Amino acid sequence: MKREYIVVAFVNNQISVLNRITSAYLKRHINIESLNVSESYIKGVSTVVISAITTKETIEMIVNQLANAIDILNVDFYLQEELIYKEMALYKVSLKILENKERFDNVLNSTNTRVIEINNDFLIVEKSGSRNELEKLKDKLEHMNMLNGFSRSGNVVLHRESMESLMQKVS
Amino acid sequence: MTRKKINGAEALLLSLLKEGVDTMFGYPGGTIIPLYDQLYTYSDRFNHILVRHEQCAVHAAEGYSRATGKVGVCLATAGPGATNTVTGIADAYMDSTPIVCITAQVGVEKLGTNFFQEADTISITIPVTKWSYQITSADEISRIVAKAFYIARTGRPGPVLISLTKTAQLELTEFEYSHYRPMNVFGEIKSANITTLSKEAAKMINDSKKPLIIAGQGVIISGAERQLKELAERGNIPVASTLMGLSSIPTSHPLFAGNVGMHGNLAPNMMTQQSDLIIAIGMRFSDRVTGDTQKYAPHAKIIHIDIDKSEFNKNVKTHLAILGDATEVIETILPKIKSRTRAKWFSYVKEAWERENKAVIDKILEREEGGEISMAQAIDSLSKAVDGNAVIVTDVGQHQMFSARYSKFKQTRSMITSGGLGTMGYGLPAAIGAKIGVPDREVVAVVGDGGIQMSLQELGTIKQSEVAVKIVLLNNSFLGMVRQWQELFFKRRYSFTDMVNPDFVKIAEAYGIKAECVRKQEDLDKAFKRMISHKGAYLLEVKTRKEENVFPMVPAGASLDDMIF
Repeated sequence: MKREYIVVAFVNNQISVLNRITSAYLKRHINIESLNVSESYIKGVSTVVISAITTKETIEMIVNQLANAIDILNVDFYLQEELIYKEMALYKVSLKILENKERFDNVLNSTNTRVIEINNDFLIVEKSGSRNELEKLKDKLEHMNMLNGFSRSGNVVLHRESMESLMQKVS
Repeated sequence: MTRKKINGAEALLLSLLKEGVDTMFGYPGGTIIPLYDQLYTYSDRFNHILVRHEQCAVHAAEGYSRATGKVGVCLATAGPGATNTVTGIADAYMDSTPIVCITAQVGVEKLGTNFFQEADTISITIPVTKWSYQITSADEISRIVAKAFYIARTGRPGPVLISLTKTAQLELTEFEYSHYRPMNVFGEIKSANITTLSKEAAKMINDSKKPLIIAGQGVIISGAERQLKELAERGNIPVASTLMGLSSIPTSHPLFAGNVGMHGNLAPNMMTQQSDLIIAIGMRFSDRVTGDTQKYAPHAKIIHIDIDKSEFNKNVKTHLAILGDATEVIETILPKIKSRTRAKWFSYVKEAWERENKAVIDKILEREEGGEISMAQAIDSLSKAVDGNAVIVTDVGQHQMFSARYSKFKQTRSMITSGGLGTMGYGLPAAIGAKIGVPDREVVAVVGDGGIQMSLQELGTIKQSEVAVKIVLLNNSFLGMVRQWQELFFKRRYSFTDMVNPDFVKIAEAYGIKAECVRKQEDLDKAFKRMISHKGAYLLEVKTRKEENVFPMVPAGASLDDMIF
């Protein structure tokens, strides 16, 4: 059965590591839905988070292959529910939304968004949440013909496991 | 005190010396001139073999590595030199052959500008290398070379590519060298973590009525030939070999049951399907070994011993996976192994062999006066002429399968072949590399008329470097294996497999290589004797039956018990 699997890898922050990771997906003709790389709390070690829709067998093969790669310190795969994960999205919203206070409250305030910039042409709104939540707001704004731009960050994740077991993984 | 500064090219050569390198295969070009310039100075310390094509530099390094167990080294220039190495690197990756491939790269300031002879070698080779690194500064050289050799040879070996920019070759640096020690992110030395499940494995083996050991190349890489033999003898367990595992146990050993797989022997294939326990050592259950994995070894539990965790449960389900070096793992199991008679099991082996002898082997080896030569007869005759002591290096195709089926091996590292990638053109350069690596052993390249023409230019290397390699060319004027498939599965539609060939004897002679051609069965044995008694390189062209098939055969995707004859 195909579903979304999130691969979390701790890697040396070095040139070509990311290419080696994406190559393992490319080799098996798997499309990457979301990819996020950022420095972890260990200096010189980056966290790579990749979502892809595939089967358990395939994701196991990918993870086993990645586990062999020299600059990958630890890698595992998860289902969405096993991780704490969030995405952040920015929305470029038409100024027309300000014309109706009720609508503004209803669409933006009540959905925990934050206005981060207002200018003469549009306002930029930020929201974090699950992909579903972010998509829902996007659809709503689109439906109202208010959306002029949209960008999502990709998954930011944290394990539910303890610091000690995490340290063991990368050692 | 300040140390003397040397340029990066010299630092690279000094680093190679520190890693014990004394032989390399390469081809110069514009961007790698600084390195070759230093090599001119160091020519007394390196035996550099000038090949005729960069792909063959890699294959030669592979052959050298497979024959000696050392890391093979090859050099090529930037751009086309580097891209020409890709096939060889991919071959080494599939067959876990440790090589370090050093290709030049344009100067750092020119990277990404489509400079003359610039190719993004790192990106191109990522999927087929165990590790790769682009050196942009001379100061990095010794550290990266040390790491490259460590990675190439440890764990599951494989190819490493170093892309050496011109900047790094020319820059000055103070040379300092220390061997690589793998460290974790906290700067601690990593310790090997080998799981030992020896008790459980031994119990499974002792309880088994119909066990079968399948030895892969991992046995040879690990140097576990003695341990394999002891395990088999102590437990009275038959041993089959994969194509890559051939020569890990002498073919004459009473417990050797033959080769498994698509063109393997009937006995070990049938045994796989009957067995209650497969003990797989250093092999990866490739599709050529298993046939239909759904129907593979239906009654057997599987113990899989391998150094690469990613191979466990990849192709077939394993009941007991033991991660580790074959030598160490077998040694922990050995003391707990008890001998069992298994008379019924061995009589099954005997019966299957009798069946194959009767149906295939006796017939194909039967000689008749004036008869056309079968490839099997040629390999059988060769094997007798070298008394099973030669290193057989094959290309890819029918002659390869005949070599695997009919060669006899007395010692390890005697079968060098392109197993995983199936690279035509591999045989001749790999044999050159093997002969350079083990000059005291007889090295015979067995090639077809298709494959030899993919690396025919290497006759020039043989001439220039006086490589005393013997070449047995089995010529049926067909791309024989493809033709066999066309005959069996594509209604004899021989689409572009017919070859119009040159006079190979004349070509060899043009390179100053002694050569002859035989056509009749009665001339075969004497011709092989002449070839072996000749001191230098020799090409023996054997004109063989035009349409001959390698049988038995497990058709692609069929079960191992559906062998066709």
